[in-house]
Amino acid sequence: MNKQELIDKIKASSIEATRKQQIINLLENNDLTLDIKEQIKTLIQEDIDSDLSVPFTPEDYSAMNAATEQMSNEIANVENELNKDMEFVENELNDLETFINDTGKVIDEAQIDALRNEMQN
Amino acid sequence: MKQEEINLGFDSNAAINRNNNQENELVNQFMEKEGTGLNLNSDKDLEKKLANQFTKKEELDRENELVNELVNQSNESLEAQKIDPFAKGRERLASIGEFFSHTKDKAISLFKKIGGALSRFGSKAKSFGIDVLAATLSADVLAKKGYEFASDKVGEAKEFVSEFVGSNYDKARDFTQNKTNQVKEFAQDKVEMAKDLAFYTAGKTKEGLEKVGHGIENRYNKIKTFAENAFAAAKLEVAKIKDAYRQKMNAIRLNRLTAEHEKILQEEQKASEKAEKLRLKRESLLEKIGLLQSVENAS
Repeated sequence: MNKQELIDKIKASSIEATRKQQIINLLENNDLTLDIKEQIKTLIQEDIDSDLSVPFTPEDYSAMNAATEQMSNEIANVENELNKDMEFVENELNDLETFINDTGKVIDEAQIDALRNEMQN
Repeated sequence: MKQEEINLGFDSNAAINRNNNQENELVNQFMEKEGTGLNLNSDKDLEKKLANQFTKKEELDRENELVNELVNQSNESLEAQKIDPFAKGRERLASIGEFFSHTKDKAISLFKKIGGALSRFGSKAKSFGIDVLAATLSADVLAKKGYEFASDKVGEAKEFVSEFVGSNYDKARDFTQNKTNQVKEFAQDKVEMAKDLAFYTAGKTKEGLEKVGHGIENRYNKIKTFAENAFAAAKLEVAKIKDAYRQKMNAIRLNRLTAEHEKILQEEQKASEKAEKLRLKRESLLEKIGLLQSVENAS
């Protein structure tokens, strides 16, 4: 399905008018990146969730709580992993900076040596 | 037993009714005893008896109050969930958005810092006559490559992890699998770079510095790619988690709606059958009334 077909499908849907317009604006003004797709999905989901008249049972609430709990834990794992990765990046950058500074000192020495040689000659 | 009812949270009146029943029972017992001529020896006995009954009534009142309070609390919690059962999930999903934003800001700040060091290194390389290296590490080029490390380059710099599409996310997918190897590779690079620096320190040749410079540039690019891929992989993973979560929540909603729909259809079917039976009965009755009339009219 191409973007125009998606726009047509959204236009013909039962999504609430304001959200529908927001989705169409997102589609018309952006490439279909992951972030844009996420924004569109969030709007559609908000539209679904806005119907609070569904007679959920205690079992439904329990299942929904379990799903939310699982999602929350999974996201926490991703956060931890990315934190570790960024910590690794920070350490690597600090190492690289130290290395650059060390190299800079050697360059300075080399330039001093070159000047000294020039003066001696 | 009361606790069980409170936990269920649906039959809030049951416990209160039971207490009321107990209360009525006590009064009835008292009345029965009075009515059946129980001989109370003195006013004091009667006073004592009444005092006991009132104490029991007070205890039951307090118990009722407590039950009411707990049931109300339980129902409030249930009502809150009924009002918006998706609020907690939305809150968590919003928090991951904030986390990504914070991580992105932190990464930009880290790369700004290293960008400054690289740019200074590029200037030194230029003064040493290594123009190619100086060019690749110049502030302009570094800014265009990725990071807003200098305030005057902000306009040119692209964001940390620009909008990924297609193949960029394929790289992010591979990232998680290859991460261990990349980390090993980083360690090997460091050893190689230390060797190159030692070689340059000993000879201080232009070629030696060029090699060190390329090592620095290579490592900078690798770290940058690692950071971008780590960020993109995390975003991709969260997108998958969100999809799975939405599917689960929507499946619960769909199942409930389907069940309710089927229930109504069944009720309609039953009502239709009942209506048909009533129709037949009515017709039968009319027929019999007609027969009665016919009998009456018959001569």
